[in-house]
Amino acid sequence: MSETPTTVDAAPRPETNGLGGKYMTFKLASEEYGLEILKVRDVIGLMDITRVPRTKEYIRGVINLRGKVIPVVDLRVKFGMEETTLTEQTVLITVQFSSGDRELTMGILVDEVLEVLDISDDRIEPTPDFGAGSLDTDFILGVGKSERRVIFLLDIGKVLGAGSDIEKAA
Amino acid sequence: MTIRTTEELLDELSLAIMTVQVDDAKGVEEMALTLEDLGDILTADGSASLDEARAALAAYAAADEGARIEPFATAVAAVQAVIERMNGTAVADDAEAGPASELPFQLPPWVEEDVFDEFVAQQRVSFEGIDGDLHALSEGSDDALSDLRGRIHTLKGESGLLGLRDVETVCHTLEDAFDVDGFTVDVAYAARDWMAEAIQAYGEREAPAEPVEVILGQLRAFIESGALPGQDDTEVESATEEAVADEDEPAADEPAADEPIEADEPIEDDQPEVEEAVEAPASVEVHAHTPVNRANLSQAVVWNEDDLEILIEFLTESEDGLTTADEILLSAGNAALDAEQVDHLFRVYHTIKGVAGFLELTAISTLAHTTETLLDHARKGVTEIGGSNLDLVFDATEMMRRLVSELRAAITEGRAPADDALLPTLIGRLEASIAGEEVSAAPLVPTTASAPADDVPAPAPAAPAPAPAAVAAPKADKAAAPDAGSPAASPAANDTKKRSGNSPKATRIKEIVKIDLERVDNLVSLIGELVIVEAMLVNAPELKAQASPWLRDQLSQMSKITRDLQDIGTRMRMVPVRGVFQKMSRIIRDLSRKGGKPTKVVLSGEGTEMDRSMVEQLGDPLIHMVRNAVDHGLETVEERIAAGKPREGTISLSAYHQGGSVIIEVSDDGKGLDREAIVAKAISQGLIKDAEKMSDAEVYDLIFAPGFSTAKKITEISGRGVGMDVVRRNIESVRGRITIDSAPGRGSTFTMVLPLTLAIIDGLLITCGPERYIIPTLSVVESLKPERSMIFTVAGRGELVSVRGQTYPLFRLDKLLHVPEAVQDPVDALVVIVEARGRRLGLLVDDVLYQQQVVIKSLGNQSLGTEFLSGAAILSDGLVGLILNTDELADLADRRPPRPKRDGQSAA
Repeated sequence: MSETPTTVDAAPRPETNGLGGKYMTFKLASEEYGLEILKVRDVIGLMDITRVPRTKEYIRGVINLRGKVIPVVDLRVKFGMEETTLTEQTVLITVQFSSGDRELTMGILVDEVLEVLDISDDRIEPTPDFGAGSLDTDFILGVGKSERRVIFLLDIGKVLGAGSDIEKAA
Repeated sequence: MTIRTTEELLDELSLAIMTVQVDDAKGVEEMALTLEDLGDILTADGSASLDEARAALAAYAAADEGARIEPFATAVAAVQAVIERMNGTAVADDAEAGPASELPFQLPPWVEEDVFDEFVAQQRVSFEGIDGDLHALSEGSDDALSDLRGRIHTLKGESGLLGLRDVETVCHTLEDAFDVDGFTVDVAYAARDWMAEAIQAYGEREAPAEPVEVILGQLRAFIESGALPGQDDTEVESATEEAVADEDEPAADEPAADEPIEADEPIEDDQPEVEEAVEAPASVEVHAHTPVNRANLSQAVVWNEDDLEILIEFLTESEDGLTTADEILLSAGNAALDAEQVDHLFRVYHTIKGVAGFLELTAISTLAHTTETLLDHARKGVTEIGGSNLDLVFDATEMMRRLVSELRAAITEGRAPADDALLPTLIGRLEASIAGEEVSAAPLVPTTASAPADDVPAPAPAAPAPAPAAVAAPKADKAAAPDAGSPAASPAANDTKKRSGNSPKATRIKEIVKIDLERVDNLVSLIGELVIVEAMLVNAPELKAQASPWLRDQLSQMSKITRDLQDIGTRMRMVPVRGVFQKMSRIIRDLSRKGGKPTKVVLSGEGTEMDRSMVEQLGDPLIHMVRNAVDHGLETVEERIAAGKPREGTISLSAYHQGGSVIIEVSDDGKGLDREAIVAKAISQGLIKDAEKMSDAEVYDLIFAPGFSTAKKITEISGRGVGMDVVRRNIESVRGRITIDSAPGRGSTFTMVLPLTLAIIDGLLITCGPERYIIPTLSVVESLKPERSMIFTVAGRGELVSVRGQTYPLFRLDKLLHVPEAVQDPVDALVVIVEARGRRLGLLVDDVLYQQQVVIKSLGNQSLGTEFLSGAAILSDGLVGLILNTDELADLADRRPPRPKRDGQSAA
């Protein structure tokens, strides 16, 4: 658990303050990402996805999640990588977040789920600046460090929410 | 200062007008005294601005002697108006008084916001009821008038209580107007409109746009010019009731008016007891008015069909109210009730009294009235509801519950409600308390011959002595303890039935429960999911392979129950189209009068039910259509006569079920659509090049084109088309479609085909490559296996399919939707002819699987940029199937004409 107090003044690095907590980490290609655990609803094995024609490229399709139809995003495509190849490791994570005034539920397709990590405040660094004109890192909350791994903590609302166009930036 | 005192007096008076009974001589006298006080103050003031008020009072003084409330109310209203006006100017003049009138409308201090808002919300329903009555009335139904009276009366009471004095006054004046000879619906419509608007405005805490004086002026002018003012008791005068009353209560008028209790039933043996009961102190006043109402009580015995609905509603509402009352009383413990609690109770009793009074349920309304009076004293600080008074209110609430449940039992069994032996005692105590006397806290005992009302300690509360019950039972309107089905009571009730000559059948009471719409929606959507899971389960191959006969039986039983459940779920949201039809009828009336085109409205199938939200969304397009029908569809009288048509135009609205859809038609017998004009207009707008090959239907369909109708000119040219694109959009937004049929000189018919609900559609499941889609059955014309000779290409670009001489553009679904591996040779595929944007086109699909009902799911609220999908459905294997929107699909096809591919082109 994070022993760092949550008050602003006490935090050594104001930029990362309050980010400490539990993250579900997963892999996309060779990169490791983290999702705030509170936004994760389910982790489900791969299921049949109904393709939606003529929609955005990163929308893999829709699934029936306990009677609700939710879109599934291929996060690799969203991040400008090549389309996810479905394997036994491929997993669907459903996330719930608010975008504007709406609550959205979506599924994201990831290559592999790793673990739930407790990352304390002091181990989260602000997103490095890639320099003007390069990567828009708005959708990354911070960079978590665990042992020797580097985990990009995602602001899933910014990744998937309305008006998110990071696939262009990435 | 003067003004403030005057206001207080006026408040008191208005409340008195609301609560007093027509024949409550004492109450009326009290009011008259207050009014005199008011007059004194006004005279003392002497300022010229009060002249009008004084004149009103003088007019009242000059009016008939006797306990008449109407002139009284008129006087009070007039004074009120003057004072209010003065107050307005006073406020303007007086800086100190400034803050008081910051908001255009403020709730009276005793009204809670949520209570008021609920009232406003409920009025929507009430006005629907009022509209229904008005419509029935305009068609000559007399029964509707009594129903309407009831509604207006209730509205009057409620609005008065909530401080909407102007609405109350309008109701009141309208009630007067009912009695004027030559009363017409138009009068009521005017009042109804103002009230609806005013209540709406108040709901938003604003003042009504049109001042009340306007409508009051109209109503009063009507009353004055419309001949005789009605009698006070006309409310009960409708012919049928009168006849019943006469038969019913032959001896009714015999007992002297000051000896009224329970004396109206000539059961000789019991008579002495009756008389003794009357002697019970303090009960006389309460019953003093009984003889006046008595003549009408029979209505309750025969359970007049028209009243039943109101009665049943009344039962439910009263029970709800009493539950609230119990809660309040119990929460008080032994402490006295605070002002808010008293107010709340007062409202409960007031509502019960109002409706019971209208329904002539004398026992209930008397008890309610008396209790209310006690509560009102508490409101005014004369007394408080604590100690013995609290017990009294407890007793009254308990008694009221008994009366109401006896009434319910009586209705169910088709008999008159029996009287409750304890009632007179209770009333007596209430009266005593109101008079400021100490009342006994002893348990109630029946008033019997041997036991005068007061304080006989022998407790026999649950078992009324047979004798009083017998006395009481014949009195038609009195209710009794639930266990009062005493042998003596029943024969008497039977007698009543026989004599009424209208033997009442046992009536099943339809219980009505109000439920939050959201809960219903949740339930319906859960049922939808159950249906899917059920289908998946029943069709599961594992189960199928291993199921024993027993298991199979159970599964099919489950399927059946699930279907039934789905059916019920669907029905829960269904309402008849009656309301919206009546609204249209009203609009047509107005329009035809304004436009000088006499029009007859024919409604049919008003009982046809459809989804509530659909009915709501139907309103706007229907208004457009009927407006067009009157304005442009129907000819002028001269034109009609010249054309040899009846002078009066006819517009009919009809609704009926067809398959899984609801059909709604709006037709007129006017001049019909002008094909040439539409074509000319469409060409000038660049919508079409020429119309030679277009069928009439296609030409008429042009009026739905966006932009086609926005130009003002079009109404003169085509005579149709105002806002028709909006109409179509509205209809399509509820997954319906609209078509036009028209014959020159004979009129036009607009036909809307609508799904039963928004939640479930009937769809055709098709496959295309590895994928499955659902096409709403409403959009499907037919599906067929094409022969090679039926497929053509046009200039190597588009494909056409020819079906029985008709040619339709053919689109390949796999190309439209980028589906891989679909069947390419049309001969191996199927063509589904669909309607889209008013035209027909063919869709080439691999196969048509079957037709099924599906629950529509939204595709998530994230925009996927897929307008050609109207949603998704979960198929029986648990996977998602996408539902195609053929209109949007057609647009898609138009934007990107499918380029013929070498391999798919074998068929030219």
